[in-house]
Amino acid sequence: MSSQATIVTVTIVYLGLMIGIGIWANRRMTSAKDFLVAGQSLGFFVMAIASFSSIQSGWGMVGATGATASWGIGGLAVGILAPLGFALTWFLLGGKLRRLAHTHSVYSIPDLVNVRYGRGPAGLWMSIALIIGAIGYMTAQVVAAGVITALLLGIPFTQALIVGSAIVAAYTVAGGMLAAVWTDLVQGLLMIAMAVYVFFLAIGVGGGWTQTLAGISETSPEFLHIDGVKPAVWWVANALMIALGMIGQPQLIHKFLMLKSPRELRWGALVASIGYAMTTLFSVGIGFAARGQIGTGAMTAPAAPDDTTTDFLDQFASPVVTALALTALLAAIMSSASSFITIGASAMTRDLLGAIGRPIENELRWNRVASVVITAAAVVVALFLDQIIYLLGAIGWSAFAAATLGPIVLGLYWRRGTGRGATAAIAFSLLLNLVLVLAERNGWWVPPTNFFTGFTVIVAGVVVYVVVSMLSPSEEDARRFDAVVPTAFPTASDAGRPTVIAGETDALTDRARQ
Amino acid sequence: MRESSSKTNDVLVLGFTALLVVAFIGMLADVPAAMFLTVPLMVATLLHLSVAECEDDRRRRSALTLIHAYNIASVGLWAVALWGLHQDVFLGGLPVSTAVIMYIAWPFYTVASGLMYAATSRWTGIVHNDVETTQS
Repeated sequence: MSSQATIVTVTIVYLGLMIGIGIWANRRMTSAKDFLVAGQSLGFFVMAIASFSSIQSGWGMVGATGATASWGIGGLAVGILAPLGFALTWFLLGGKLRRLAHTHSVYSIPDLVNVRYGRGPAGLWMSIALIIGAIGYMTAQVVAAGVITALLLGIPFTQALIVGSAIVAAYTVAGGMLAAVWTDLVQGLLMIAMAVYVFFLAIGVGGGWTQTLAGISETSPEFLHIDGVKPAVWWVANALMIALGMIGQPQLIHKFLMLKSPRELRWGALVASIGYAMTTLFSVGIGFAARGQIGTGAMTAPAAPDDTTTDFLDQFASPVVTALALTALLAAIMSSASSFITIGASAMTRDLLGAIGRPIENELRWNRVASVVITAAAVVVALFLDQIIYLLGAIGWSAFAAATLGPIVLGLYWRRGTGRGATAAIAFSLLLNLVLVLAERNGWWVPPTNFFTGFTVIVAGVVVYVVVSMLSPSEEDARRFDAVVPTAFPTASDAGRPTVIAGETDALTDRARQ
Repeated sequence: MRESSSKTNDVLVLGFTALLVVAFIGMLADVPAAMFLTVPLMVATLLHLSVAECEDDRRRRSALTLIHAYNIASVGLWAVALWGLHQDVFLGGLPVSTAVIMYIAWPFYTVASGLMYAATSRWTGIVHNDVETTQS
């Protein structure tokens, strides 16, 4: 079998497996609860692998690899503190979110906002932020998927983009979050296996870890220093954006709503952290190896940093290894995309329409329709509105983080947090992110080298939430906090408390959502 | 929520916000110390926040003992990384600041953080807190 035939076969087998999982999940789909939160049936291992898999994306593997080759250790801020972000998320949200999900039938992030602050502008703005962020994230993933699929199948970019998008949309529409999570499991395990293999392959090109570092030290020593290419403060701001921003990412928060029991929390943080760290080896390996080879002249510097991975594999790996590595990248892309299709669809139907007083019937059908709309919107943006792609992609991570870190993460602990504070934080951080990215993109403002937009937006979101809450105290919000926000820990009053039947809307939840 | 934990949470949330502002000013003013030293303090604040509502004093203290030990190690790592920024010392082929981050901090945060959660979630009872759910 020729190399190209082998590559196409590997790709088709992988894509076929994803569709197969979608068909299996579709047969189990009976309700919106199944579609949105996988029926709240997940065990810890599936949830943990799906968590890191949905976080690790084309941005994390392709982008971080190119950044490492371009900026050295500066490009690895993304990967190095991300494991800490998982642990912080489990600590802060694990117990509370799972309990909220089962007590108040919370199936989405705006549901959380409505339970915490009552139905109002905060939930509406969160829905808008999720829709914009989901389309933005999807656009970035769709483009990356198009590039990878074009290489794997040997077809033009436009066709590849449509094929890749159609497949991830197909299994997500068919099986909702259940399909997304189980495909995430397969994709996550594939990513780990290939990342470890590629790390040793890449470092071997330079003669081993010590030799690779010695080579870089000789030709481009600044790449090994934290402050060698970018300022040290920039590196830390980047790392904080990842670690703190992780806690606010909807595709991760959403996973806690799917756990079947609190016992499933215990080992999830460790599994997710180790899984993510292992996939970071991909960026470490190719990033450092490529930098070393560029320094010696054995490899031409890629035209764009994002081409580093494909250029390196093309030159130093066999076609089959390249195919498997690119399939792992495609897995990283699809695992993020599937989560965002479902989250965006939920925000568009259940959350946005609910927020404007037009709740839908037959949520399952309309979630599927919205999933197609979200994917189609991302494809259209990717194909026809090139100038906005960078803009929408840049909005993604930090916009979510800024919108949720204060209102949701801190809001679940801070009794003084108010709906006005939440609304202000979500709206302001979304607009600030847009303005800063537009200004930089169009040359209206050249930020200093030590300035990092993503971290700035997160700080702004938290500060606005706290300050506006303090300036607009609300007894009603405080009473609602006391009534509905659970503690994650057993209390003396838990013994003998009647159980709440999930699915029934009790008076407490009704009042909380008004 | 107990009144005392509500007040504790108030202090921790405001403290975290203040640390974020200090870090932001450090970024704008290009003062690495303002960022390197606030990172572990922010982590410490958030971890304390996560267990502050545990009503059982013994359980809460057990968790906080482990968390504080972790935080001391975390502060130490960032302090050494800060000190190493302008040192001409190499460790394992990397400048000492980079080496501390890659060889020690990265595996520390990857493994120790998750193990700490596994331990504290059991000690504080989170993983046994299955009070409320009956599927309809």
